[in-house]
Amino acid sequence: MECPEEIKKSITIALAGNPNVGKSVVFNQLTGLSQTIGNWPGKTVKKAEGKTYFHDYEFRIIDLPGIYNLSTYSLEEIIAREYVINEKPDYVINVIDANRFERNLFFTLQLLMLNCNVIICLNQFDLLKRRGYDIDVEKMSELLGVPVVPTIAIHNRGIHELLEEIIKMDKQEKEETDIARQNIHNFQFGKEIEEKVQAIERLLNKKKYINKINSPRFAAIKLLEGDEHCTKELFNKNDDSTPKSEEHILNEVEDARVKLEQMHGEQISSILNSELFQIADKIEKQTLILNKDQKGFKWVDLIDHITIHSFFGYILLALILLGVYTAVFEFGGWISGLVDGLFESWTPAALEFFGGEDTWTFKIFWSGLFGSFMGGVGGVLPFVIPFFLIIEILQDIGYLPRAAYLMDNFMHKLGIHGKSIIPILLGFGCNVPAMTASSIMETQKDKRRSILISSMIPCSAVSIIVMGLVAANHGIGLALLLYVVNFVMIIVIGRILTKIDTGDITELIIEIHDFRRPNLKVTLKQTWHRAKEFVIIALPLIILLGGGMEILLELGIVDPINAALSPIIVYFLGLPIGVGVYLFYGVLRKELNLVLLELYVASLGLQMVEYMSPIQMVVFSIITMLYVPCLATIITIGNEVGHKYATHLSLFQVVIALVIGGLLNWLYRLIEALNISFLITDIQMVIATFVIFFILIGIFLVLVERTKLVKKISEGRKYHLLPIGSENICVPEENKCATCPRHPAHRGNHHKKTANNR
Amino acid sequence: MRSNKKDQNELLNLANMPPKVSGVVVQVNAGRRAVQRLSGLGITPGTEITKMSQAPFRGPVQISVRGSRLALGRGLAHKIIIRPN
Repeated sequence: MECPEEIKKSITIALAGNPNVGKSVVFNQLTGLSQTIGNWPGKTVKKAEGKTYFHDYEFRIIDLPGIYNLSTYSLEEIIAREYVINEKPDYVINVIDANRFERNLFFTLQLLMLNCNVIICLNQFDLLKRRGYDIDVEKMSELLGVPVVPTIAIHNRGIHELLEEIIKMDKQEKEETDIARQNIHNFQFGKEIEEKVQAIERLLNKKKYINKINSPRFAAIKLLEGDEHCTKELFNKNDDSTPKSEEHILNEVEDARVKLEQMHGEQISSILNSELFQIADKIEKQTLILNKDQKGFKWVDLIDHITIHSFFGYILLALILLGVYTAVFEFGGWISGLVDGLFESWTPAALEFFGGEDTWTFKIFWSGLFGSFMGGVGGVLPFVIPFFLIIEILQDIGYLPRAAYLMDNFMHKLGIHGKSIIPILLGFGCNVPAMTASSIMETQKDKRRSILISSMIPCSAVSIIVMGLVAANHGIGLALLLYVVNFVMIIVIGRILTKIDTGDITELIIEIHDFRRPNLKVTLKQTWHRAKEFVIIALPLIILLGGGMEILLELGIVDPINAALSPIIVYFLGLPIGVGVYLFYGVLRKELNLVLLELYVASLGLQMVEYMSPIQMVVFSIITMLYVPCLATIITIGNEVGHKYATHLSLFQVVIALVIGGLLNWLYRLIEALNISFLITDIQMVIATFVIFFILIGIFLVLVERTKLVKKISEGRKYHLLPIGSENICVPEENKCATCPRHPAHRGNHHKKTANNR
Repeated sequence: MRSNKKDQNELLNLANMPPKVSGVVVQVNAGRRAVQRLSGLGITPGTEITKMSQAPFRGPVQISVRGSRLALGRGLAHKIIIRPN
């Protein structure tokens, strides 16, 4: 929508709603800005903003993180809540998935309590109708006291109506909307709860707190819920009021909470949320209409069943992974070959232009700058872009949560959360988006662990090296062994992680969506969005370094650096002396290791096989696989979890890489020295090295496993019933205490003792 | 304490409940944060839940609750007590 010459008014709109309701699609359709959309709960963690112009109005649109609840469980929830309370957007568009009506309404009810101007965008209305349902939009609007607009965002239907509705609301008298807002508060809790809430509301109304909150009711409920964030907001910053009056309110709240919990035999958040869900349920019953029950066989159901099947689910997962990598490498290799051919066909013309092979201009500008540009375009992008496209499609159709469901247990064995399957899958393509994807973890600890593990996943650049060096010269078998070493190292580190860090990993809670057809336009947009970041970071670096490398060669600086590195490179790792400096380039972009080394070896007039022995290639590849993630990844890690952690992680990985590389080298030398009769060729000795290596790692792993630092949580608990208040409360037997019958509220020390004695 | 023995036998936790079985949540036996999170997703006492599947190797469980599908970690599933229908 184009900017008209005169803008009457500027309006700020926030988009709020559950994850995966198509909020980002609505945002994209409204603003035309590309922004990440996916099927992953909580993916839009970063704030996205856009502008649009409509009927002389300027709309500033903010896409809030997708959340289920306005509590303070996660950072996303806090961000969204704070934004609505503090920034006070003119309107809030609440995007609702019509197919998960009740749970979405639960969120709407909370939003309405915040006293903001809400418009409901009832999205995915087509899917609802296809399922044989309908929603009485007018009735819903009447019950909630706010406008409701049915939309099909993915086909851009109903989007303009949303804006028209906002303009209509804006033109209305302010008083009218206020009356409408008053109606909203007719949703009442059950009698006892309502009394307590209103009592706290009155207390808040009396004080000057009223200025700080736009909704005393919301604040009262949150105080009752024991929401620390809200308590802090309200009381700690208030300099005027005396502490005594604060204490009075807090005591009152505490008292009400204890009474309610005793009465219901449940925790307060459960009581309050249960009430809200009952209201939502009531509204659903009054507005949702079942037209025709659609039963019978559906292909989607069968596919759905297979994707999470205990046996076929894993087969499918393996097939998908295999398919992705074959497709990516086949396609990438093909394009890569085309680009290489193009470069070579232009070289004679360039030779003529620069006036010969030995001129420094030819070396720096053609071989260095342009050569590395073509190397980046041909060697990296053809692999990365199709990979992103496929991951994007998997995300859009809703497959990834299913993978998390299948893999959760294995992920937990590695000390990471089930959701980490996403960064791990992404990591095979490029570690940079994998690090960004780690932000879906709920706690900082889970995030760090996820980053540690997924930064060790061999990315496509590493695969280029392993394939280009080891597989190209000595066959795919040896290359696969290298991958095995990589994965074994991930397992070892993951296991050690679970042993030294006794804290629990957050349990998996993830929504599994129905499959949906991806929208090609949106998917392509997202792929481009991801690839763009990559191009911006990677290509300029590659070009500059390629040029810089040629300049260094011209200046003759490489040899002193290599000499300084030789104790490690030559004696410890057993690599040729010339390799040293290229390992540094690999920090900047991993595939540069090989790209530049090949240029160097070619300039010596040698073939790669002549320059390096099989074991040297193996050690070189292992080092590249395991040592520091590339610079772009390190920067991303720094942004996600702090630069200190990024530095520690990098140093840690360098040490791991050197230890493993050195171990392999010395094992090989040992075998060579033993001169075993049946090990004749180099390759046989390399394989023997691996065998011994795996045995050693195996022994190490067993030792790690036997170190019992963490008490295992036993399964199969039996539950007892204990009377508490009027309700029966179930207690796991192992938590049961012989001395005190009323125990769930009580977790005294002697409980721990009894648990340990078991 | 053991008077309602019949009830006791009927109760199962979500992890041990067989798949394709529905029931009503009796109690969520978890810490404050977990209860806050679960109740926000509609898992509160009195809610009807269907266990749809169970991932192998002691993996998570898949449930259907209030019209949406969720996967819950097994440790969490242990804490949700159900009275099967």
